[in-house]
Amino acid sequence: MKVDLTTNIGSLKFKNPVLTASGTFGYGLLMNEIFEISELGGIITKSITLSKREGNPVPRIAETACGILNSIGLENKGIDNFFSEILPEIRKLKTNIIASIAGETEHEYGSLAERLDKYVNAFEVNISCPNVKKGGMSFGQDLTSTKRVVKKVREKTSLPLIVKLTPNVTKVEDFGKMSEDNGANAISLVNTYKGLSIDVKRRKSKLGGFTGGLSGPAIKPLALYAVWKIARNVNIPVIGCGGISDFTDAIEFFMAGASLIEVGSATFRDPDASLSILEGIRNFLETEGIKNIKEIIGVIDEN
Amino acid sequence: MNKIRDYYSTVVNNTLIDNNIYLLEMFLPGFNGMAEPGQFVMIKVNETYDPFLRRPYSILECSKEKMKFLIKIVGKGSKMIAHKKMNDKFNILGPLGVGFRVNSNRYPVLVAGGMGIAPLWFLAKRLNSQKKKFSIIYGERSASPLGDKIKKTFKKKVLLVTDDGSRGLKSTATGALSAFLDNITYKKIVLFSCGPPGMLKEITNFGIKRKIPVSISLEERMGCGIGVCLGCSVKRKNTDGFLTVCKDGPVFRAEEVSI
Ligand SMILES: Cc1cc2nc3c(=O)[nH]c(=O)nc-3n(C[C@H](O)[C@H](O)[C@H](O)COP(=O)(O)OP(=O)(O)OC[C@H]3O[C@@H](n4cnc5c(N)ncnc54)[C@H](O)[C@@H]3O)c2cc1C
Ligand SMILES: Cc1cc2nc3c(=O)[nH]c(=O)nc-3n(C[C@H](O)[C@H](O)[C@H](O)COP(=O)(O)O)c2cc1C
Ligand code: FES
Repeated sequence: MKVDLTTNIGSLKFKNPVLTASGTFGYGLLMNEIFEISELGGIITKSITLSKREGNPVPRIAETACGILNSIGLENKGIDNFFSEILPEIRKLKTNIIASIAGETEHEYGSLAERLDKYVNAFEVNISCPNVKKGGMSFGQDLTSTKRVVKKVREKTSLPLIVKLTPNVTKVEDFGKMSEDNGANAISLVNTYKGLSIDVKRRKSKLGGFTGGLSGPAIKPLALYAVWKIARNVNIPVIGCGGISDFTDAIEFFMAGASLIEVGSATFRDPDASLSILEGIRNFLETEGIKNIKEIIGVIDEN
Repeated sequence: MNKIRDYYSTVVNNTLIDNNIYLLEMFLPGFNGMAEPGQFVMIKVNETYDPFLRRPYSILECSKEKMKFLIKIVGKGSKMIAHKKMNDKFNILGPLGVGFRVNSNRYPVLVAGGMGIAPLWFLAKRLNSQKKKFSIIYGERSASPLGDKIKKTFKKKVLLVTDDGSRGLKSTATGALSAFLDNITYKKIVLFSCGPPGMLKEITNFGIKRKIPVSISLEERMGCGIGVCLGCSVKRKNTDGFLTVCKDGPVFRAEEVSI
């Protein structure tokens, strides 16, 4: 039996629902030396900013029980470098390329979308990074700012627009709805949960940037709950992310209402985690006699 | 370059060689034996998610389907690796990063502090097999079995120094360097170094002052080990921007990075 794994966001077709999360896969080029990434439904780039960013001081990684705190701080070489060094290479990859964009003002988000329009397959608007002083999560924690950013990007592009939400809010579903109402074609969540870890001997944070964002298996139940809440409140596809480390995790997200998933930190543990998860999903559906992935989306019994 | 692969490997031997330091010998099916001194691997500690991340270790020696590592216990992950028993299996991703480049006609002096010996041990073995002459200065806190082992293996090429004077000169490795260079006949020198951050800073400055090329091997907290998470950035020297320790390094020319 051949299972149908295809899915859509707006007009964009995905051969399967497995994507890689921004900031955990580079631009795909290094990963392509390790495995055939054209097997995946798509890759989401490291967040791109207008000017280059140096990021936060080291240490940028601190491990916690079943998870990672990171404070990278959106290090990237900026959009000009993306055009000259990266784009020509990643356009050769035979999978959907989703550009993650991050600005310090709504206008920066607009300019990024305007310049990248037509060169990529879709946008993921990062309004949820907890590791920067300006922009980032502050947009995703305020409904009016969320609205302004989404509207601005929508004006500048007709490509599918994914808004990536932060779970560091009281009612995440309101942010999903706000994004949908202002032109988003999909919602992705979660970005990391803000956290802290202390070196007791030095009486200092273990991270150079002081606080960090928590990811990995530790956040999976929280992320799954956030995805379930959003999926009940919007009528556009939801992309589930947060701690997905094997195919059962992925199936849980589908059953909670996600149409696609993003694999993040699991790639650090196993570079080809996304591929194994994809194979696992396919095997699961085959074994269960399910012909189309859509048959399991949002199917949990809520009694 | 050799393709990065994840080898499901078996412990062949694991022996305690010093206080909290183990010599771990692994069988890596399919590994062609090719790696450069200074390259490292990412060891997957176990199949549970705690610890979640792999741990970076320098390759101490390698040959077809074999690798050796020196594992010092400093925390949870290293303890679990150090306590692996014969026939235990786990994944080793590698070989990773950029190692030492030795293609000059200069005389190599290897300066190691503490566990910094691991990548330089591999370099020394490589130089031996190429019948090249070189010296090692090994600095440690106090006379140790690891120091004995280095001396026994590389014999007259080794100068041992200790912080407390319990063996050899009472000095740090870098402290002993100047007098050492004055007393050897070679005038064109190249330095290779790995050890604590303070030592690498000293040796970098020494190299600048004496106009001697220096290569250093850096350590940083790692997420992925393959250049995609940007967790292990190090600042470039004299120009802005960052390099990654795992992909652009761990070995750098001292003038490339600001430490
Ligand atoms: C390229 C590279 C090569 C290395 N080669 C060797 C080697 O050959 N032999 C060896 O014994 N060790 C080596 N290390 C260090 C080794 O990776 C760490 O000791 C190990 O990851 C600690 O894990 P843990 O869970 O025991 O420590 P944790 O519980 O995570 O931390 C305990 C202590 O170890 C220190 N530490 C943790 N991770 C690192 C790290 N990545 N680099 C430096 N310090 C760290 C912390 O500062 C902390 O004080 C290397 C590190 C790098 C980056
Ligand atoms: C090291 C690291 C860097 C990240 N960088 C970004 C980024 O640039 N942009 C972004 O939107 N999310 C970034 N994230 C968040 C991930 O894309 C993802 O939302 C989060 O890690 C949760 O998924 P996971 O538990 O599967 O890792 C980063 C996460 C990590 C661990
Ligand atoms: S450890 Fe991830 S980039 Fe170096």
